[in-house]
Amino acid sequence: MKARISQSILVLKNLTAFLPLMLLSIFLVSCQANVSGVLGSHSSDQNSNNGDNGDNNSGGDTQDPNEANAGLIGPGAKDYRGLEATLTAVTGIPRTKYSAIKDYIDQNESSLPMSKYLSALSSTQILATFNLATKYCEFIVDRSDERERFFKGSSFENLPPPNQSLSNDTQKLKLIDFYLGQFWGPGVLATQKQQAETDMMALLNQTLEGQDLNSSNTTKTVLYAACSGILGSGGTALD
Amino acid sequence: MVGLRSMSRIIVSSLLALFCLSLSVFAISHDEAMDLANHLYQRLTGIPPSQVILDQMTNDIMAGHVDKAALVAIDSSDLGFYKNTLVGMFTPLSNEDHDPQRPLSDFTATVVGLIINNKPFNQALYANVIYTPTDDLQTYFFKDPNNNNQITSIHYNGNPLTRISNTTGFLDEFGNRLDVPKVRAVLRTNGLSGDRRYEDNITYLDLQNNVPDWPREMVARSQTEVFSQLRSGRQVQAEDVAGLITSREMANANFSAGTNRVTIKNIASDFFCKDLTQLQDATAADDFVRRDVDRSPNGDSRVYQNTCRSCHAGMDGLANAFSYFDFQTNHFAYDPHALDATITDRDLQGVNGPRKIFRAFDNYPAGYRPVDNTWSNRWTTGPNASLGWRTPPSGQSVNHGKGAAQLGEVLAYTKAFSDCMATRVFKRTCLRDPTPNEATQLISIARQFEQGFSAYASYDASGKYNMRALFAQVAPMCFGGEN
Amino acid sequence: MIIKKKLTERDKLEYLTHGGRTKLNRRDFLTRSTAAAVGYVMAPSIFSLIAKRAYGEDLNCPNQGGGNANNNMMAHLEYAAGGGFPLCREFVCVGPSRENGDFLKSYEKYAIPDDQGPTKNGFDPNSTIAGLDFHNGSQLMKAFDLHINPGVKEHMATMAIAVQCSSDTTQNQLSITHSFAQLGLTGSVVPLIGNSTLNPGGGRHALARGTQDPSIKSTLVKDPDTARSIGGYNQALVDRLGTPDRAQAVLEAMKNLSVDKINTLKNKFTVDDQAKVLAKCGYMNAKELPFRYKPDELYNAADPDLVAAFGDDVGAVHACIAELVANRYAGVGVIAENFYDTHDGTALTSNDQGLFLGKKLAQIVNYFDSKNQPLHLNCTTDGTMGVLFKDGVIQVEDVGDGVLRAKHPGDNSLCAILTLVYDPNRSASDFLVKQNQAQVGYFDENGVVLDSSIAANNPSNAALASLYNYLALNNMTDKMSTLQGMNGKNPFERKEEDYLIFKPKA
Repeated sequence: MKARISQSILVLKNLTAFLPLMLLSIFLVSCQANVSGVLGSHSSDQNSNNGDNGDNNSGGDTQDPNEANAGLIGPGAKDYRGLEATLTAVTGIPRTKYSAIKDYIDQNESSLPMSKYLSALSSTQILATFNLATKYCEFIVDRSDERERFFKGSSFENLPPPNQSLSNDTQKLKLIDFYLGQFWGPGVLATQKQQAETDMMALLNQTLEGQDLNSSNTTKTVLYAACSGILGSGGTALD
Repeated sequence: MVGLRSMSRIIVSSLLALFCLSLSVFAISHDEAMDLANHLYQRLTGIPPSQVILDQMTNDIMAGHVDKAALVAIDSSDLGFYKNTLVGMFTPLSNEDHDPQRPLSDFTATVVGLIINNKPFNQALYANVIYTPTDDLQTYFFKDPNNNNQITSIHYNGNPLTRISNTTGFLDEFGNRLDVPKVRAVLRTNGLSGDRRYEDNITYLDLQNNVPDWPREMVARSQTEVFSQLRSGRQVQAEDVAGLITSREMANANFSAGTNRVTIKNIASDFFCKDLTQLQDATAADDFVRRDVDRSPNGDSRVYQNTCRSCHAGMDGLANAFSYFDFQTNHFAYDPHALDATITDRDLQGVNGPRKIFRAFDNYPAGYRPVDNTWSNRWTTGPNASLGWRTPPSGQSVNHGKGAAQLGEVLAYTKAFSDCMATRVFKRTCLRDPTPNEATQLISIARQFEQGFSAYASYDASGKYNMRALFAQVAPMCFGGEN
Repeated sequence: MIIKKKLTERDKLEYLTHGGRTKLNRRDFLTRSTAAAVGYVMAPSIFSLIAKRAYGEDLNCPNQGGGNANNNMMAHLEYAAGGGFPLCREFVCVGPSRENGDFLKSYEKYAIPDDQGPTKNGFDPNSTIAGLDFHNGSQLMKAFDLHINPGVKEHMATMAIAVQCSSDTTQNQLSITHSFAQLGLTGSVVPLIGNSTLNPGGGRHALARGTQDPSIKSTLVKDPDTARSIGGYNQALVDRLGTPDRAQAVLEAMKNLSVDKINTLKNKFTVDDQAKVLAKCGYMNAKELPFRYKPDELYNAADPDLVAAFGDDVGAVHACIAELVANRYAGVGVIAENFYDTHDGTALTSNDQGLFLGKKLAQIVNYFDSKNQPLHLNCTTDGTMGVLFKDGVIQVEDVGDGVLRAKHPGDNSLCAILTLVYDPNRSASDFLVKQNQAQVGYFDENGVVLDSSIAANNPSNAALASLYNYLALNNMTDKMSTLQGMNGKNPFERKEEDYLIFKPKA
């Protein structure tokens, strides 16, 4: 009897020690149940990844195929409205500011994506998006007032020649990172950024090849090429 | 029998597991949360977020509040949610071709206006409202009948008028002037020349192109006031106005040619997410099927009984609500006396404006002959009872009424409307169809949508039928996903 | 507190090569097409592809255009006349066998009053095209004859498929535009063009069941500007950068960045790897596409052949689409025009629409003739217009030239697929298997005889029957069972006598 009481006291002591933990758990669980928007609150997940290592017939992982997409995001592409809004927002050039851009949009808008579904995206639409981006790049590179505004504070504000501004990888990365920040926004992950830097480095090198590295015109060409590549890509156009 | 020591170990282990499980639900890294935030923002607004907004949304997501992150995106100052997402979502509903590439119109402007001003969105089907540019953006001009209908500015309080601030007062004073035949008010955005009339939608095109913050530069006006200026001598009555249904853009789809029955098809498609073939009911009483419907097509009465009746029995009874409208060659017409008088041969040809309702009325003289805008609902019983008809708060009967406004109100309070809006929001946010379980969840969300989401009171989004709240509530269904 | 996430099975599977899997858990579930599949699927190859950080070069990207012109095959166009145009009224709706002549007692149900109906002696042999006879009062034929160039009809034939369609236009499965790419008809630029965004098929009609191929995207062409832009050529880009190579390098970078972005769509995104692969293919193709043709090569409104064939309609949508298909820039084209409804109840409107349609069809055939390109053209509509009776008496209207036509109060469910074929290397008599048989299924006085064929009450089968006849013309009937949606079977096997109207070139 005494032993049992001691054991009970021991259990109680253990329980008491874990009481805060218990209360915290209960709190967390109840928060999960009541607050909408919490992660994992989507509807039934019959497969909680409970150990299936991908082998056949693991028994407990039978998933209703109709629920395969539950809780997931459908990949998307921006439609023409989103694209035009994005290009305006990231370049600072309103659609109607220059007739060259406005007219281009009016003539080619039908070729831009009309649907947001990635599955509907065609090569023609991809190119229409890219070509529209190049139009904006023309203005932020070739028009001095737009260039000064857009590149203000960067190494390229005053359009130095390549032998001063693009002479090594560090300098080239500055341009690439500047564009990535401007066009893709602050939400680019480090891994994504690294991949983009690699991709764009190849383009910069190719564009500089055989060019006059003392001329600002060459800088403009590189700025334009890099701008077009990044602004016209899926990094801008997909959501 | 399990010893007490073992029992305590079991309890401790269980609690620890429970604790760890609870924590693991919230285990999302900063990078993952930021990536989600970036995608969510661009999905809801169409443009990349600023650093400040991104940080705020990331923190919300890490704290498990995807819905609040969504509201941050929706309420961001760039207005992308309104200008891109809502306009893109509702433009295909505004025209018969479901063409997504249409400029801003009174339809889409009113959708935006209702939502940005936190109005119950079901008012879109019955309210006497149209959103137009504010007075500061507009100039009122008239065609002066005393001056060869030249466009001229109106003198107000003795001064040449280029802009006014008091629309109602202005219209009161010039009401008689506006009723003079061939004088129509024009609305035009600032700084443009030429004859820009509301009838041709140029006002909204100008607004979209010239005013970056246009969602906040609109004002709610009554359709009856605005439309009255379009039909000199024919005051549009409030009972015939029904929100988006009688907007000019949708009127083009609803009231062009035909006999206005397509309005029911368009409403079903746009606001119930139902094709008309899904609403066929051959058991419905056909007492309201009009006289132009041949009861023996090709000489075979079975065709009528088995096929035609299943749509017309319900459709004709409801479509009578819109009997006074017509839309021809860009001209939106209304005539409350359209159904008066004896039917003439010209009426039978269907070429007489709103009297087109009488086209081919000699097909079956024993059929129904509308005399006014009274409507009757034959879908409250039978298979279409599943649309979830409910008496609106005003007490309006779901079975019959007079005019488009009363019908619109009944349609607005159906379950089908809320269910459809929830599904549309899901598809637009998640870019896929809901799974069966998610569809069930959406129905539950739709019921809450009708009552309001009290959790969003601090966001001014807790009212009934609040679309901002609906987007916020739906977003976690895909953007809150686990790994 | 941040807890490092356990690597999910999804992550693991991205980097494993699979084979022989017969059961997949949630994260492994793949869809083969845009429709969700039910059951268990195997898709090891896609995983292995995505597992690599590939820029897409190792992908098998189908149906992206750029194929050879494939001039050996007939071009395919669809003209979808949306609304209730009574196609089946225009030609003589014969019964089971043309040998029996026109067996119908009355054409009233087809809007031809008795005293205006044709008789065996009443057909104008000059107003027919090999295969079908057209009514003396056919406005479609009247306009076609008026506008077709001399001698062209001698290289043409027609057939019709009797079909009943009860759905609205967008739901009728009368389109087969996705089936041709599998045969190699992918165009040198894009596989499919159309002027409607309503359907993946490029037009207003839905695709025949099972034939939708997610790799085929319809490119919108609705006017000369969109026609010129299908190649996406950017002269300003080339000028600005100095050389086409530099321009292509920019596109290469764009492609790589985009493929990288698509590769990030995992974990929280739907497991639709096929869509991701196809999206990458889209970017891959975009890199190459602009350098195939310049805009003015694709569509030049001043082209003499174009002007000669279309006259004032040279910028119209049917001209743009016909031009791109005839020149093999696009594999297949769909023209969708929706003003064929005659809900105003008048026969006059219907009459005018017949004239309108006939003229357009003639213009299209003339253009193909000028390009020496063979053409297979399906003209479709949804339900035609019913006929109005009053006290048992057909109600008619004088539509001019003493022609009386019935009034039309509203849609009925009668349809047809009217096929026109043209081949500069064939004479009219060289198309038909049997000179006295030009129909699949048949009509009687009440309409389509529902058991006259497997197509009669099934728009999908009707579309497939036209596809089967296309294959016959090109001596490729053995390919029918291999096409998507056929499940390895030819639905018309052992029924060739009833369903094969056309034959290969001798």
